[in-house]
Amino acid sequence: MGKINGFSLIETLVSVSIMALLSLTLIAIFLATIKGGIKAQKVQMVHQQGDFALSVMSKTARNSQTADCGEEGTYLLLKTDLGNVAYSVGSDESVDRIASNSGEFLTSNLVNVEDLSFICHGGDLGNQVVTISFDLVAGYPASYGGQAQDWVRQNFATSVSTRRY
Amino acid sequence: MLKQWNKGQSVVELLVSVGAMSLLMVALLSLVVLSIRNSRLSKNRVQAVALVQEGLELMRAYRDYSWLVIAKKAKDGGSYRLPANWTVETGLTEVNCDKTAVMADDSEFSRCVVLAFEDEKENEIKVTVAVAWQSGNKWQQVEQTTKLSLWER
Repeated sequence: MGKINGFSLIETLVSVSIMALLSLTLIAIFLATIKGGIKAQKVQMVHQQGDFALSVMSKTARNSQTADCGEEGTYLLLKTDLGNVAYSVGSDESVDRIASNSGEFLTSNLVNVEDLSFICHGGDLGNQVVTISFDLVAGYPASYGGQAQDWVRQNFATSVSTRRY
Repeated sequence: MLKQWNKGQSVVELLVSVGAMSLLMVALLSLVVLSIRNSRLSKNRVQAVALVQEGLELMRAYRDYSWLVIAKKAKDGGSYRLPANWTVETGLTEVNCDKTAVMADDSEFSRCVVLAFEDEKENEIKVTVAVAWQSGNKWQQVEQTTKLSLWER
């Protein structure tokens, strides 16, 4: 009878499978962390661009004498002390961006602008209240062949009054 | 005769160890449950505060849109549903400040605004925006107050 030394085949198999299970869970956790990080980065980028565009437009609207939203509400024409300012969607290399009439864009070419709308209501005191609303979209949803962590869609909206003096 | 008198554990030992382990597990589990509940509560509270501040900002826009309308509503002294999507025209329908003031069908938050005149001269409207949501079997509420007037005139 030979003396048993070392591990049997069964023991090795069991230990290898336990190790495989453990490393699988570890890798899954690792991948989820990376995906979460990418998503957070995208959300932060979209937020920053939307907040910037919204604050520029609302600041100009607050300082303007009159506002004109057009019939469809697709553009906003503001009469300010420094001349007329207009905002609308401008296409740039197949990316829809918020454009001003000075030729500058308020959003980068990393995000698409959708549903940009301006609604003007006449106020009591001869002023106008402008409701600005738009969506920023980055990436494609999974149903369009995109990665879930790359797709962000966020609505930005506010209402501001033109000045009364 | 008793060859294995020193082998294995007795029932008492087993019971004691299982009891100690279960005590430890219960303590750990309740800690985990508590921390999950707290993090969900604080997430909801952050969202609710954002909704409250959005509501106050919307009331400010509404003041700029029509002082007459909110002054009339403040005189009636009721509570109102805030208009959706930042619009001012169709806003401020009467609603009770409870769960019927739910913001949207798929929203867990309900929001309302209470308008009242503070002073005799009716120059200043006290605006209180409240957001409530259900957490477990308890109702949580966040509210903020501001005063609006036509100070430019």
